[in-house]
Amino acid sequence: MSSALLRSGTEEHGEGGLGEYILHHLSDSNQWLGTHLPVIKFNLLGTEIDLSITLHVLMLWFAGALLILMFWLSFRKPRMVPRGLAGVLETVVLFVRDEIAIPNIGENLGKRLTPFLATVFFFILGCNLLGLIPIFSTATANISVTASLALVTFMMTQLYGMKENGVVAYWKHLVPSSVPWFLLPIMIPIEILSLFTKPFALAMRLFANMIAGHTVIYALLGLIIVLASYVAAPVSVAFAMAIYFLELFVAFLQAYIFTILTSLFIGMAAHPEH
Amino acid sequence: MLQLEPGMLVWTWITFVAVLLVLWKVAWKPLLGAVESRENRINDSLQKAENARQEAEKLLAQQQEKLAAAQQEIQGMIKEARQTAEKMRADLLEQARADAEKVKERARSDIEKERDMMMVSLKQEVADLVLETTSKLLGVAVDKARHQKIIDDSIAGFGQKN
Repeated sequence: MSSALLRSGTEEHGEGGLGEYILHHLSDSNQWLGTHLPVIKFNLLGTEIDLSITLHVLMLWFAGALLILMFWLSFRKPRMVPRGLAGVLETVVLFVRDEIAIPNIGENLGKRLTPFLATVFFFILGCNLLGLIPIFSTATANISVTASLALVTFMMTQLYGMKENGVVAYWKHLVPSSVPWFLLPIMIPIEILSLFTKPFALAMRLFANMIAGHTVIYALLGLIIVLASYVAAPVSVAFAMAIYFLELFVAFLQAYIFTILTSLFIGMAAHPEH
Repeated sequence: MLQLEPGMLVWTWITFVAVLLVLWKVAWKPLLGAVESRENRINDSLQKAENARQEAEKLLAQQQEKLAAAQQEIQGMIKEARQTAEKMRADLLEQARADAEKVKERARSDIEKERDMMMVSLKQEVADLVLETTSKLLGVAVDKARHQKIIDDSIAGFGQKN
C-alpha cells in the first residue's frame, strides 16, 4: 500500500487522499492479489444482470469452504465424545442450541432451527475473521452481503411466523391483542414498519461494525505516511494492534449478536403473545 | 458504498444456502445426532442409576428386616435352649439325688441283712460254745440235739434283752 498511498497521501490531496485510499481498500473490487476475477454480465429480459465473481464473493467462498473443511475434518468419524477441534466446535454449536435457539424460540422449533442458526453464526464469524488476515478481505464489510443475510433472517421470520401460527393468525397477531382499538391506526403502520426496520438494523449493525474497525486500523497505519515520521510508527502500530484485538472480539460479538437477534425475531414471530 | 448490488445479494444467498446444505450433511446431522444420542444415553444412565439406587435401598431394607427377624429368632432359640438346659440340669440333679438315695437305701438294707446274718451265725457260735463249755464242765457230752432248744431260747431271750 505504501508507494501509492505515499503519493496520494502526502503530495496530492493530503488527508482526503488517505480517506479515499481507505475506502477503496475496503470496498469490493474485481481483482485479488493482482489477478483479475471473472466478470459475468448478461442481459435478461432487457435488464443487465451482473453476477461477476468479485473479491467479496471470493471471500464468501473462502469462508464457506474453510467452514466445510473444518467441520468435515472434525466430524468425519462419528465419536461418542468429540476430541480436539471437534470438541470446541461442538461446544459452540451447543451454545447456539442451548443459549441462543432454545431460550428464544422454544424447545421444539429451537432444536429444528439450530442448524440454520449455527450456519448463520459460523458463516458470519468465518467472514469476519477472514477479513482480519492480511491479503484477505472482509465480505461482511459489504452492505450487500449483510443486507442479503438480513433478508434471509427476514424471510425465515415471516416463514416461521406463518408456519407456526397460520397465515391469517400471524398477520392478525402482528399487533398485540392487548392494544386498545383506538391506537390501531398508529400501531398497525408501526408494526409493519418494524418488520422492515429489524432486518435493516441487523444489516447496518454488522456492516458498520466490520467496516469501522478496518477503517480505524487503516487510518492509524496511514498516520505514519501522513506524518512522514518514524516517531509515529511505534505509536500507530501499537494502537493498530490494540484495535486489531478489539476487532477480533468484535468479529465474535457481531456474529453472536446477528445470530441471537435472528433467533429472537423468529421466536417473536413464532410465539407472538410472549 | 451504501448501495445494494443485486449480483452480490444473489451470490451471498447462493453461497449461504450452499454452505448450509453442505454443513447440514457434513456437520449438523452427525454432530447434533451424536449429541442427541449422547444426551439420551446420559439420561438413560442417570435413570438406570436412580433405579438401581432405589432397588439397592429396597434390598437393604429387606435384608435389615430379615436380619432383625433372624436376630429375634436366635434370641428366642437361645432362651429356649437355656430353659431346656435349666430343666435338664434340674432333672439330672433330681435323678442323681434319687440315685444316691437308692444307693444309700440299698447299702443300708445290705448292712441290715449282713447284721442279721451275723447275728444268726453269732447265735450259732454262742450256742456251740455254750454247749462245748457246758459239756466240758459237766464232763459229759451234752446231747446237742437235746439241748439245742434250751440254748436257742436263752439266746433269744438274751437278744431280746438287748
